[in-house]
Amino acid sequence: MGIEVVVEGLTKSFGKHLVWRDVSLSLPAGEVSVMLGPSGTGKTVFLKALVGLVRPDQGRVLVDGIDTASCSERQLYQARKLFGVMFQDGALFGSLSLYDNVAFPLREHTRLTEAEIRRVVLEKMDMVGLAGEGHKYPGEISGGMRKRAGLARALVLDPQIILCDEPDSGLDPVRTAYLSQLLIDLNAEIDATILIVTHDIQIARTVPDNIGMLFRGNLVMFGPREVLLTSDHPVITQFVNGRKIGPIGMSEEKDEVTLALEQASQVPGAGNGERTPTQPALVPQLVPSPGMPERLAVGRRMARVISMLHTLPEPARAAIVASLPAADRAQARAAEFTGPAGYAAQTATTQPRQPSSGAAPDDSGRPRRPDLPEAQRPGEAETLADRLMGRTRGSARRRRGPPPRGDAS
Amino acid sequence: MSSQQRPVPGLGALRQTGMLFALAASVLRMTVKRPFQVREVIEQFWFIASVTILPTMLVSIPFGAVITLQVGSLTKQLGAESFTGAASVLAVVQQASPLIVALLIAGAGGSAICADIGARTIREEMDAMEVMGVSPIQRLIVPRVIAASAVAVLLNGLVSVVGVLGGYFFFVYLQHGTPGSFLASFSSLAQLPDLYISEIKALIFGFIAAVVAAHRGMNPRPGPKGVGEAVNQSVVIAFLLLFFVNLVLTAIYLKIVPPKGS
Repeated sequence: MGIEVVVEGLTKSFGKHLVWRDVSLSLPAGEVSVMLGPSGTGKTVFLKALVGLVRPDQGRVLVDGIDTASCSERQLYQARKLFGVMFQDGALFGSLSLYDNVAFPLREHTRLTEAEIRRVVLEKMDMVGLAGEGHKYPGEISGGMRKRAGLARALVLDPQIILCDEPDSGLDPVRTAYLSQLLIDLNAEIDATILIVTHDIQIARTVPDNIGMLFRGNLVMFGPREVLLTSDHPVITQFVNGRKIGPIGMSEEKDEVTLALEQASQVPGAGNGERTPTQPALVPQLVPSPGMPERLAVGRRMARVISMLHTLPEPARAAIVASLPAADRAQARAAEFTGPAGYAAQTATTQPRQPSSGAAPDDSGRPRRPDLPEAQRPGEAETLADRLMGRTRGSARRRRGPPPRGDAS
Repeated sequence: MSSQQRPVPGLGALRQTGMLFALAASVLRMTVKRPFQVREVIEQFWFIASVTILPTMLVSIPFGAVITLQVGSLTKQLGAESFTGAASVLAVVQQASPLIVALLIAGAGGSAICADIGARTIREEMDAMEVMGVSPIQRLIVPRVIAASAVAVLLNGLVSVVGVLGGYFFFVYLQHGTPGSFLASFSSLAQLPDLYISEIKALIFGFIAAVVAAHRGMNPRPGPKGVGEAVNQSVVIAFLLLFFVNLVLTAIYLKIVPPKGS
């Protein structure tokens, strides 16, 4: 299983320019996460900070007990062996053929014979659909192939954590879809922790288990996909729907005056370049291709999400419950009101625990499914969670996922 | 980006200087660290040698001639014609030869190194290498520095020979001096430490030129234009440094090695 990456209070600035401030999140082990954000919000810098290429001003990045933000060079090289990084343009070595590029980490770090290296390299190149292209040089192939070759090279050492920097940039939608599928299949196969940095909303909607968003030097939100995709936070809705209207402007941010002017002149409907409003943001997640093993992360994540269900905003809860198999819904519904700690069902109906804007009081959501038994015995959720995750982790660990925040900004 | 706010003037330059020294130190440290990149050293050696040998020879012949002609006409006026050989040899071996080598290593080899490293940096190859747990300094910079230093030392021998031969040719055939007096004064004033300091200078100049080129290549401004600027800077900075270091080395040499015959 992959390794959890815990980021605490990360702050970075270049000179006077603040990139981001106080970013805290944890990439759950073995799950796929996406970091969204408009161009120029420091997504790539964030990714580089995780592997220690950029040293942050403050904060910690814990990977397998090593703080890559402040550890020694020697430790950093150790920690980096856990990572596979796919750079924006592939970052292939121009002087080496694709085959040699993919074989590079093996030749540097292992004592495999050329025959064994050949086997591994061909397998990985086949995986990304580059079989038979090994003799070509990076200068001779298209951007999409370079990206895939970069991914193959990131994979040869069987990394525990895979970081992808804008896997979609410069790719057509079809290739992006294939790449998305590839990442999901990969996660199913090797169960690695994956972080994708992108501004492509299609990837964000279909691929990840968890989504985060950076904007104006802050982490707006990080949490399960349902939370972000159903959120009514203005930045997130604007981004998810690709609208012009909202806090995100052409240059980094809009000022208050422009925003007010825009609100006043807003014409509903056509002409704003929006997605059709009927298209829901939350679409079913990609599943591994036929023939691939089941994604273990799905069960683990569901258990984790259910354990924190009572802290989530109402639309997200409804979405999560609806996505469960019918048999599990009843128990999940109970968890929603009781919480895994097992306090009484009735208290939850009057006291939402999350610091939300109050837009979604619990009572409004509750009668939506009158067919379900509402009050279950406290503690039911625990059993469901345990079943989903195969009783591997303690509830303390499960709760470490940061609660979603920032409905009020 | 760090130039947005400068509390102390010159701090940026000081920081760059510090980074340059840090790079030089880590290059020295990694030179003795295994694994040693034999193949890369040989390739780079061959590359730098191939771009510098011919221009160096072509530059050194007229250079030796100019010194001989200039010194020859001066010594004729003074009536010390028989010392032309010694003067031209000392000037060529001690000063001209290491500097010619340095300029060509910095200009031809250094600019190529800087452009290569710079292109790799902006294409994130250096980052990728570091993420894969391979030190780019050890893997790429050290072989280039070793190759440049070695080529400089060997090239220095070539320039000395070609320069002295050029001087001899012009002295004998154009100024109608006697070959005997050229050679006699040569051996009466020149001594072996002259050759040593010449080679030491060449070694140090080759090292400096390669380290400066690598340093600029590793820290270009973003974009292809940044690489062009970096190459430009690397050549200029290397030249400035080389002449300054040459001054220091010459002063030290003249202090510690007594001239022959005194």
